[in-house]
Amino acid sequence: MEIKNEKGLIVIPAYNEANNIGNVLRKLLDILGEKDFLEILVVNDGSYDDTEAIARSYGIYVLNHPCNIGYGAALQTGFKFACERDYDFVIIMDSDGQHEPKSIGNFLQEFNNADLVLGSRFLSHIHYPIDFFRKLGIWGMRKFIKILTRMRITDPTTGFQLIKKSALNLLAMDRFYPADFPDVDVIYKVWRQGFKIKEVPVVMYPRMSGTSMHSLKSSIYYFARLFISILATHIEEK
Amino acid sequence: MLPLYRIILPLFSLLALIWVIYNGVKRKLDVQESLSWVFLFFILFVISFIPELIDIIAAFLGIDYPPSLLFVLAFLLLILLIFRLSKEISMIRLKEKQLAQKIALLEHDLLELKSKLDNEKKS
Repeated sequence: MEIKNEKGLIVIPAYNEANNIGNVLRKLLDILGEKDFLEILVVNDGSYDDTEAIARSYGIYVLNHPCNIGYGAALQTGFKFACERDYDFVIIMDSDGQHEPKSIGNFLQEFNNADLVLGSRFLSHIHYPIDFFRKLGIWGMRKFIKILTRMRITDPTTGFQLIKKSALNLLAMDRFYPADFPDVDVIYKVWRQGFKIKEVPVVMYPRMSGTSMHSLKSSIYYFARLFISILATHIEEK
Repeated sequence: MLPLYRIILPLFSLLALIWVIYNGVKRKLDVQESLSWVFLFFILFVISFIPELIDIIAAFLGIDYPPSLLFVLAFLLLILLIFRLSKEISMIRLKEKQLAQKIALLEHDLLELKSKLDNEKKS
């Protein structure tokens, strides 16, 4: 581990994840036992189940959106919280149990080498089952980001990332930070600002329960939105 | 005898115009919002009152059946209105996001302050 005197926050956006959030937090707190420089924040994105109560019962930070405004917006609330409280970095992970908390160590090893560290399920030795349409989508994203940045990103849709303070300020203050799915467009924005991006292997599992936010319909919408968003970033910075 | 649409159309646009103004006065419709509807129905009203105008424009545009020009115009104006509404929704969503984030952060600060005060009172 290369981290000295740095304070980190794990940001977990959650929407109606009462069935999963307890397991995620239990596993996370187990492995964080020895890492006292890391704290946990759950951003409850207007859930109408017991997500908030379950998260609070673990004695961690909990923020509550008064209504459901989207996964990306919940992430950005976490970024704003981290900036206000002067955290040196945040790690974002999903509340559905897909991200293995033990992989956090992999991010910390790359802490001094990048501003944005992306967790890739495809660099891990553990196979992640994925359907045809998502495979196709991820392949398209890889090519897209390669054309834009000349970088080889194996998992451009990953929601498991470490973001250092330098890049965090940019994302927290971004008025147009996507409220739904911030992925390739955000990677592109960070890259355009000259921040260093790296990938590390992480273990991801299929969802424990509930429904995934990715479907064929949302994938088509997602691609169209991505295109406009990247174009806007490109024009904005010119 | 006048064709029926030449009676119905001005009557409809006039009633719609009155209805929009009434809603604006009653504060059920924002003044800014009501303006575009007033504009739309006013144009429809004027056009339906001067049928020659429709005939001239239709002939100029090469439309064989002049009344269909009204539909084309209404369709285009409605598209513009819907686009404007979409823009409004986008801005409202942006503001909604910022407000929800602010509320979440302030609520957390408030709860923290409350528990600090409670602890101070107890000690």
